[in-house]
Amino acid sequence: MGINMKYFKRVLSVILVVVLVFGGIFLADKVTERSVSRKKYSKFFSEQKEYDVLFYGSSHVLSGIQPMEIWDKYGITSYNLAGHAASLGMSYWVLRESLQYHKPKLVVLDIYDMYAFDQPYMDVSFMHYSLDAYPMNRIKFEAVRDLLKGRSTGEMTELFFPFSVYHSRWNEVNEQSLKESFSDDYFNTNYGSEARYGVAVPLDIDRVPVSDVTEGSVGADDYIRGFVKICEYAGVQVCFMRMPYPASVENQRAENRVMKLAEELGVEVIDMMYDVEGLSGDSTGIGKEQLTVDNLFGTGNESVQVESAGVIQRNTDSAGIEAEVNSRKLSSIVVDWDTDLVDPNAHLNAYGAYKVSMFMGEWLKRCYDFSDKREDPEYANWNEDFSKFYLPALNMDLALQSDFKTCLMLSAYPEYETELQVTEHYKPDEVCEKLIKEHGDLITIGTFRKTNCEDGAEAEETDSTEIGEAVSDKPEEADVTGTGETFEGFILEPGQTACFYDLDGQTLGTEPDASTLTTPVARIFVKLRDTGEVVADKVFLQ
Amino acid sequence: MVFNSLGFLVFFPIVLIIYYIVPKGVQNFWLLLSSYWFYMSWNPRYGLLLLIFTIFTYICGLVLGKDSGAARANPGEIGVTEVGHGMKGVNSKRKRILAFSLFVVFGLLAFFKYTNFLLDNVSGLLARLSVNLSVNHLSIVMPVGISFFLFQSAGYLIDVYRKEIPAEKNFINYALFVSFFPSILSGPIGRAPALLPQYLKPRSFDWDSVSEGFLLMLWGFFLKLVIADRAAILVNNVYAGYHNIYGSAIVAATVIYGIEIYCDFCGYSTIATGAAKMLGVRLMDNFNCPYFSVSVQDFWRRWHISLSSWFRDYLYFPLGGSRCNIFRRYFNIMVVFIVSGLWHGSQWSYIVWGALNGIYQIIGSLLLPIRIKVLGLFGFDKDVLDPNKNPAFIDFKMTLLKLIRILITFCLIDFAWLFFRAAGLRDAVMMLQQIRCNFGASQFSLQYLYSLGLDMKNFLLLIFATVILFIGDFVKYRGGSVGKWVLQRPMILRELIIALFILFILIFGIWGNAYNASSFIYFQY
Repeated sequence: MGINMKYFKRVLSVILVVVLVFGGIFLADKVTERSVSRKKYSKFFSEQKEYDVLFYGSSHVLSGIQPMEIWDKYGITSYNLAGHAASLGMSYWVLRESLQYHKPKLVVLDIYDMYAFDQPYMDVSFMHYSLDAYPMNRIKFEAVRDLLKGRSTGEMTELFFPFSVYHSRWNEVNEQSLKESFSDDYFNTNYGSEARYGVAVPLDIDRVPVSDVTEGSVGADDYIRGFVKICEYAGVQVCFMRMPYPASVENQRAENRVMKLAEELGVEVIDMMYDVEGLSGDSTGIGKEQLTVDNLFGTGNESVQVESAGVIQRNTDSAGIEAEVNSRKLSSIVVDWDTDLVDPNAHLNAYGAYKVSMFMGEWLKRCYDFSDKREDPEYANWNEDFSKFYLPALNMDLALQSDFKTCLMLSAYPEYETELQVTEHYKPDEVCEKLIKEHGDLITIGTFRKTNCEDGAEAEETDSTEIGEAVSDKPEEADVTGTGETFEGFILEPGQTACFYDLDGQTLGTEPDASTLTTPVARIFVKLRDTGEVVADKVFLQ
Repeated sequence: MVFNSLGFLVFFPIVLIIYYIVPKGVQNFWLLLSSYWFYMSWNPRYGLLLLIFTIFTYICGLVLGKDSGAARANPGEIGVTEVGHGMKGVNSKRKRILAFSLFVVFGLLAFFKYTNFLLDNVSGLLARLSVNLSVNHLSIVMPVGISFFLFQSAGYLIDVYRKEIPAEKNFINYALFVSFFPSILSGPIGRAPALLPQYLKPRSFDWDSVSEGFLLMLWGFFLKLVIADRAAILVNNVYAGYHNIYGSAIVAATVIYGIEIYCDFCGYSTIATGAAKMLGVRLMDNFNCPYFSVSVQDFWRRWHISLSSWFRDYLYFPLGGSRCNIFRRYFNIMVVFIVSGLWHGSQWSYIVWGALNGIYQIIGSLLLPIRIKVLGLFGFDKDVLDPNKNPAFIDFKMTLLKLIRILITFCLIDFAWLFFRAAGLRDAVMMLQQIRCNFGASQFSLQYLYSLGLDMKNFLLLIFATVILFIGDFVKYRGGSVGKWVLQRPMILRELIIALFILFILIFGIWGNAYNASSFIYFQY
């Protein structure tokens, strides 16, 4: 009995230590984890209903597709499952993982980078973003082994067991991070998407003819075929898309190869860099309807014909134009390179993403016949998420911007009404003018006037004009009274405190030092259309 | 495979469980297999080198043992005169065998460790004599732990030659003695008389030994992961970019390096001792609170004890030790410490480090009468500095004296560590110049300190962990053991302390892929 008791105590001892240690690790893991992955997937996991569409791809998709906007304007439910630097291999494995949770009607994969950089992963640290939220299971195990083939066990371990990396974040733990660790209130409000803020103009890039294809690789082919096969096996429709971005020659050649492979596999490609002017193709589809970018956005003359099944038909019937194609520049049927990119090489800014999302919504509505669920009470949570979480987050992001062009870009969302008040120092470039145009009739442009400081009487605040007139009126021709004005003399909205910035995007606070920058250039005043709530009031000085 | 790797965390429990499951007669074979697996996981080719080396020293040992056996047997069989002649012949033959075997052992060490050093110095010397000889480095990859297992084997051969132990006839046991995985990479350098008999006895599962061994391993991981690897971040930064760092920061980094190297090496030794203890094998305690030493001589009795005692028994004593005239004694000390420096690395900075430690002792010995006189003025006894007496913290005066001696010893040892840590002798000298010419005492601030690689929280954690180390060492110094104290606590409290300590190491230790955990410093020796 005594001996048995001794053994029992020893076993109990070991069990106690093991339980305490694992319990402690569980807690420590929760406290120290880098929560970006959990936040990204939180809504995806918690949604009870099946999605209409799931988007996969790299950061181009991550920052280029906005599920909440698609929902708000088209009533189609979707989730953005793209990841930072996610390779083709990563998209394949994320598809396999995600299908365990939801079976959407359609899966859309971006074809960027499928061959140009034939590597299963770009950086292990980025892989955490796509994989951490998924619990350790057979698929995750296979994914890591596959993506990190030939790499050290240590690197694999950090993906199987992220605590091995994140424990070193103990010194970043604070009250806020603790709250986030133990609360479900922190999640990606745009259903997996991450908007980017800024405006950058790329250099011109020549368009590569479709016949020019890269060699590709068996590995990449296998992933693409595997992606399609998994979807077929799961009974999910699949299509590819080509997100608009200034694709290098190498990238274009790689994408041409994917187009060919897609044709072979019978997979449709939604090509947002479709060559509307050049390439020949089958234009004799049956049951086609005209989907024009003009109709969607009214920004250009380009047109794309879309079959009801969603296959792009190239609408030029001229033959032998290859030579001409070679001299043409790469363009997009959806976005404008001058206004819609956040960096000159790759990513769309928030409004570029909005345009792409609207294009995608229209496409999905017309070609896949998704019903509009906005009025469906079962989807009330989507409407609530839009108004309660997404829109306030967007407002906050707009309020935080300090760059003039970025403010113009972000306030172009149809949720806002913008007043732009300018002085004679306002010298808009082509990009600014294009950005103003993007607002359509939701912007008024007026003069930012100076008060008469000497007698204390306040002059009229602005001369407001509707955009039609304002855009045609050069801002520099605006009527500005007085000379040598200081920003102190300019009228702000009664009861409002504007934030001041210089033209380099430097924040000067609400009471800038008058001795350094004294000349106002423009004021952007943004309100929510529905409620009139002021979102941003920014004065830019030089 | 290193102790602080995932591989070891999987490897060791498997080895341990099977070790206690298999029949006792197979235990040594299983340990041998595991040891070769452990060693070959680093580089399989050197497993073969280890095997060949083991076979060679095994045969040498047998030959030495056989002749010693003959020498012991002969006296009863042959006449006294013949015995005398026979002994002389046999001894001479044994001496030749020993010389040959040691020549091979140390030749191997010299080849792997000192070939390029020698080439550098020869070409440098010739260049000074205006003879330009372009000598390319040989691409020699030094087998890890070679200095340890070669010294261990050399010690065995000498012990057999001295007839302190019989030659080991069982090859499995001998091979295990050479390659026992807890100690093969960084010691402790085991002694055959202490280790070999342990392999002859079957070992049963002993809960107390396993518990104590486990706690020792935890303590070792704490020293290595929480203290040493954290300190290494700051030290590596400062020593790599000392040109742009104030001398005051170099001094601070050198003090921290003193802690780093202790925790790194003692951490390894403690993990090794703990792992061996869990397997029922008792290894030598390699460190005994070295920074509580009251003199440099005292320090070398407490630091890397297995190596210090090896040098003492197999080099210092044969040279004559301290039982000779004072000049010869000083010469012997210098030889031992210069060789010790060379053992640590094939660089002049190591030799200077060793020489410094020798010089400290010689100066200490020369100044002893003056020191005693000065202390006598303050009312201390004549034997207060007797190295064989280590006065306890009796009263305030004695305590103060002891603390001052500990502080002075630490400063001396730590100054020598600068040479040990510097990338080379030239760097060490330039760092000293930086300390002298650009000390920057007024620029030194906490903010500056936190910019050297460890932010405030990490630095404070380093201090906190060092305080824990100090407490642990102080308890040990006073003859206690924190581990035993923990094991004597009531059940729930005991388990809670152990679990919290494990979690502390897991959360605050520097481990995991992103941090590219540094190897144990002593692997390179």
